Amino acid sequence: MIHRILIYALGGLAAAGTLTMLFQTNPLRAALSMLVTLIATAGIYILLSAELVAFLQVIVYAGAIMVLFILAINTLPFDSGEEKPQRPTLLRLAGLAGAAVLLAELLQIALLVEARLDLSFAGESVHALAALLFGTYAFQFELLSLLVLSGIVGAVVTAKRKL
Amino acid sequence: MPFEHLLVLSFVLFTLAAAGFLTHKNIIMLLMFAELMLNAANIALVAFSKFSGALEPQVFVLMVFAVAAAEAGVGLAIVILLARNLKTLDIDAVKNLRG
Repeated sequence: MIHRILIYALGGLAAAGTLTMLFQTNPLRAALSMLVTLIATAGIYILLSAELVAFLQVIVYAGAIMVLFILAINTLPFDSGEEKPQRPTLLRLAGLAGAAVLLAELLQIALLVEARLDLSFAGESVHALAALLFGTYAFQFELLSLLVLSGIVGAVVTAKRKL
Repeated sequence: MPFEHLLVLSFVLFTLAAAGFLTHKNIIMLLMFAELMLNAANIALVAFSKFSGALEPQVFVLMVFAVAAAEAGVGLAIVILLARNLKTLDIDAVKNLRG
């Protein structure tokens, strides 16, 4: 019972974080709202007994990626957030309408699914996950490391003034 | 905890992030909303993992983490390049490919 209440509360918190970000024009404040969403999501992962994913969410998303964003926001001198925060009204309305249509379609799909199970901690899931990651999906995992390596090289080459 | 509610949460978060992506002007904000869309998809994956008992969706989530990290790195490098060349973070200023 407490699980359900916590999941609903954290889900509401995540949605509220994204919503405040939506109406925020200051990038730094938006980044902090995003942090709320990411941490709330990590809490939901723990309640869904995906502990490793929750910890990696905090380390990778809330840690590394958010630090990168905040660093970029603070380093780049041009802060267009204050004077011209929004797109033209017509474009904004069209974008919101498109998002609403997307939500309607996705909710249709959600109503089609009829799986109901109880909540309980699985246990030993990290070990099983590691066995899967380094066993069945070892090749894909290595490809992933290649992707991250190429990402690092690409980022350095792109942002460097002169090679 | 009905399974659909988690899916609804995932879809709501995804749609809110998509709305932000479509309405904001700041390039960094657009990147952040893209990350939030990936995050919303992750919630659905973890819900699938929980309610099917399989761990494969969690493997996919970890892969999405790596892709998100790489995306943020390369994306912010591109943002730095754009900011240096165009002297602005306004996405509407990036229209050189319009022809």
